[in-house]
Amino acid sequence: MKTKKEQPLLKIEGLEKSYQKRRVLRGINLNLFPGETIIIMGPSGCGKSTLIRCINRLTEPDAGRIFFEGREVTGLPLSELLALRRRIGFVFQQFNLIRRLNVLQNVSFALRIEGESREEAEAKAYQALTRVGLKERAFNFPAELSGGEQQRVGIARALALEPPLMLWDEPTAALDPILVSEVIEIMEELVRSKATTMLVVTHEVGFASRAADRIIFMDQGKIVEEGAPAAVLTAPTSEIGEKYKKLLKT
Amino acid sequence: MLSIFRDGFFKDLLIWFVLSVFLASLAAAGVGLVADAYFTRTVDGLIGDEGEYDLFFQVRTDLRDTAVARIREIIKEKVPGSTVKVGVSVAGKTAVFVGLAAKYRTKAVYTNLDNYFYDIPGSSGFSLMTEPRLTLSAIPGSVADLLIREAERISGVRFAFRDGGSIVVLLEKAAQMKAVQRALEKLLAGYALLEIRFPDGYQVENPVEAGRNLTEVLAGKAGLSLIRNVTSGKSSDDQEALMLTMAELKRFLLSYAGQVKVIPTRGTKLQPGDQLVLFPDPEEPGAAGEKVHADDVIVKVTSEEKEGALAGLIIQGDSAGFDQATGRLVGKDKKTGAVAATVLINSPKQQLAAALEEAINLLGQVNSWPELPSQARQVLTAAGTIQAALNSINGMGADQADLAKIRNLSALLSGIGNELQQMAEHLTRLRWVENQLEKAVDGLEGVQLITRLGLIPRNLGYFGDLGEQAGLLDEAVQKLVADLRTKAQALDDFINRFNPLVQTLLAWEEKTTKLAGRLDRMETLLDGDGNAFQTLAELVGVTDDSLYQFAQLDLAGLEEGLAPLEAGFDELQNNNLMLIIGEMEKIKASLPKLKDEEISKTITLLDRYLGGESLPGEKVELFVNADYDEAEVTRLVNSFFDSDQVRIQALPAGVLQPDVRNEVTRLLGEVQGVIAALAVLILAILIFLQDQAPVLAMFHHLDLLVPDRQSKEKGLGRLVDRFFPWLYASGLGAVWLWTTVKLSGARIPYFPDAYFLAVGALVGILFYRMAEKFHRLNLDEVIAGYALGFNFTTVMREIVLPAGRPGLMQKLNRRKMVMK
Repeated sequence: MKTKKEQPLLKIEGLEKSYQKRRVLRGINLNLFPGETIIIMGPSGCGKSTLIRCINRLTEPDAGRIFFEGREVTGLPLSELLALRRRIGFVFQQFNLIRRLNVLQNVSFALRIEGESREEAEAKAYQALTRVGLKERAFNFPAELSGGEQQRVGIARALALEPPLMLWDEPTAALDPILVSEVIEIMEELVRSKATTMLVVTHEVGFASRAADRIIFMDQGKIVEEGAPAAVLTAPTSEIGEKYKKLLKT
Repeated sequence: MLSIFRDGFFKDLLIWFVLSVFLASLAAAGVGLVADAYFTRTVDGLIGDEGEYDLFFQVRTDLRDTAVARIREIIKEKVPGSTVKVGVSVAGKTAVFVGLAAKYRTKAVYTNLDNYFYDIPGSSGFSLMTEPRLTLSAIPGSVADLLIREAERISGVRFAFRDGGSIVVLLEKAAQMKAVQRALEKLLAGYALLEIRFPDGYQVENPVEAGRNLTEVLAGKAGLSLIRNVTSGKSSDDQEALMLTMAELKRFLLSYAGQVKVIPTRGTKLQPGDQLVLFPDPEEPGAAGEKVHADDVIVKVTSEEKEGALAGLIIQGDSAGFDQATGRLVGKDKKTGAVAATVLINSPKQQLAAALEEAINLLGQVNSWPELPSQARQVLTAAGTIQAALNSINGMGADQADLAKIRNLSALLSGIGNELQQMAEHLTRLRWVENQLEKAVDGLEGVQLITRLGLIPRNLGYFGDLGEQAGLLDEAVQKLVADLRTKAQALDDFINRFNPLVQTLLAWEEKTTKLAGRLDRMETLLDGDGNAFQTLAELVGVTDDSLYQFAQLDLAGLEEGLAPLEAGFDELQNNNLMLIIGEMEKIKASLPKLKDEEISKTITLLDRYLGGESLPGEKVELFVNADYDEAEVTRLVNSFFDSDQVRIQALPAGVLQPDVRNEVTRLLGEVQGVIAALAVLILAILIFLQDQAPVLAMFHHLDLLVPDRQSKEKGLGRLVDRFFPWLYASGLGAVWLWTTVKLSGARIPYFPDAYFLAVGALVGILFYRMAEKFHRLNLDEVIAGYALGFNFTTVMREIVLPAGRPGLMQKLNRRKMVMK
């Protein structure tokens, strides 16, 4: 747990989002400190994914403010927003790899677009692939990989940019249970190495209990409970917390 | 939204636009040119190179060899050195081309070509295809020579000649075509064809004659320096012929229909529109309140006439069988009302049928009168005998009237009694024949009435055989009537010379025979008193005058008078009497079997069709110089025909037809344009499908890149921003298509180029609507790109376009791609 004196890497104030007349986010306030891993849990439709998509404005919030590295994200002009997005890694539930590119190209893609030479970009891509254990699959195409491997490529793609913040949108939700572990292992390794600050949306209670600095329970667009895993998973104060506690025991 | 273009993609689109328009124009123009070249080669293959052939025959394929052999024979004989080419066979017809040897391309040969090639088996003639040439068509025949002379004065014209109703103008060089065409147009513009039409009902007995007289009236007046009567007396327009026929039909039906006169009963007021149901039988005048049936005869009052009477039309049923009836009003409930009128019906159709019937019967009898002259001759013989007997008696004066004289006279009359009796019989027979002849003449005049009713207009050509036959019959009947009239007159003269005398003598014979018998018995009693005999003679009416008249009859002169009778009946045979009777029977059979109600309905229908139409009457056509005083001519023409209803219309003096090959070339040019336009349209669809579908599909998801809150536009800018994809799609489509059409030379006849803007806009809008069906975007990839901080250009270049269909855009994009 970081002290209050430390400047948060990400600060969210009163974030609101509605789709049509349905309020998805209701005044979310959140601070995420550098090196910290926060895991957001909650039932489907409670606004978890919307929250992290609002952070890099893949989804535009209706109200509230977001600060990243001290700069307000909301209201940034397009060019600056794009630059900001490059500093926030994003791992998707569906991997979102570029099918026409092989694994190495997928991972080095953003680096090449940023202007790095092919050699530099590929060197960094190899490093990232090594971290996720896929160096040998560098020249395979996404269609030739398992789901777990594809997600690991997705993680490598985000890592290659060495972002100060990584957002994870249910990274294991689309995987077979057998393949989930290979992704979880990577994520836990990243947490252990403190390579980056992470905000993770997941239902993996075990992973949360092991890896999170803080766990946030959301329900109906609001944060209903927040705290260290030991506290919120052993003595939850919220109904959602109770459910996850039971889930952990099973 | 426009911000997306600022990062470089706009330049990509601009380059694509310029290149795609250029390439598509090139391709479309190329397709058009290839098609043009193909068709031109095909045409050349079919009709030879320009000027190669002069005549074109279409012969029956089965007679091709015979026809070609005959053509070769004629060529050998008339135009040796000319060539023959057998072309393609299509639908049982084979094209055969003849190229005249150069020395035979002369006016004399062209004028005689019809005479040379008139008997080609399996061919109905040839078409002229000498080039370069121009054709003036619709030229009145009588001014063709004038125009030929003037055409031949034009520089570049080799010569001109008549080809049917046209003038063919052959040129020296094809290059002079435009100049000669302009000169011929100018020539035609110098003349006009004045068409003078008469309204329906205006009768001009002989339009050709009227035209001639009008020409004389107009010549030299109203600026008419040239005027020629070109009236043909025939209408050349199908519509006119139809109108004329309908008008004639209406005229006939009006004469044929039952004419109804309605005389209202005292105190009854009838109005046009009222309907009356007729009760022809005075014994059964019907009753009020009865339902009107479908077989009742109903008359509709049409107009008011003099002295309270009204005219009407039979709108239901037929007037056959009665000419007078009691009329009861028909109520709105379709029930009979009170007796309202006496209705008189005159039915020409029945009268005509009866006249025909009678004429046919009588003519049949005329045919059995060849013995008539011999009967007349027997009368003369008997008269001769009587005359001789009379001359043998001397002293037949009144002063010699005594018993002996009476006895002598009685003996004489007894002696010629047989002759007298025969004469009387023959004369009775002749009188009967004369009466029949008179009746036949009446019947024939009835027939003429029919043939002239209007069914048989002057222009027989439009009515085929029936019209022609009826016309001929009319002429034959006319002659027959004249003949019969002569014969009747001759008979009348003959009979009238004899009949009174013969009747007198017959009376004498009877009386004197009886008297002579009685005198024998009374002789002693009277003792030869001459006075008594004188008194008796006076009593029986014997006068010397009668006897003297008979004795003085010029029998030789009377015999001469019989000559026309004898010759006449021979002539009747020569006039094909039986044929005339046969034709009359045909006409009787072909009289329309129409009920009055059907006639009324037909007239109503004809009126409806003819209503508002200007009926073509006969027309007069004048060929004049074009710069005449229109108002003055109108005045003079109206004055000539004494009618301001005459319509005068100035028509072109002729029509200049372009050279066939030029026309084909022009058509091929149009085909080229149309094919190019179709190619442009196809290319537009292909290019939009291949290149623009991914772009337009992305425009459906612009909000992923540019959040709504980013838009700072106000007013019109905001509106443009909001409808940006629609404006882009329609604008691009419109400009792309229009520019490509313009550059490729594509064009569709009667479709202005500006319309391509609209078509292009529609294509653009359609593609925007359907873009995601034409190109399935992988949104996950797009979102990944945005999440990695890529701008729109990068997403398009690196993610969207490479995943699209191969095309120009993809080709161009490849140069810009980082991840190739």
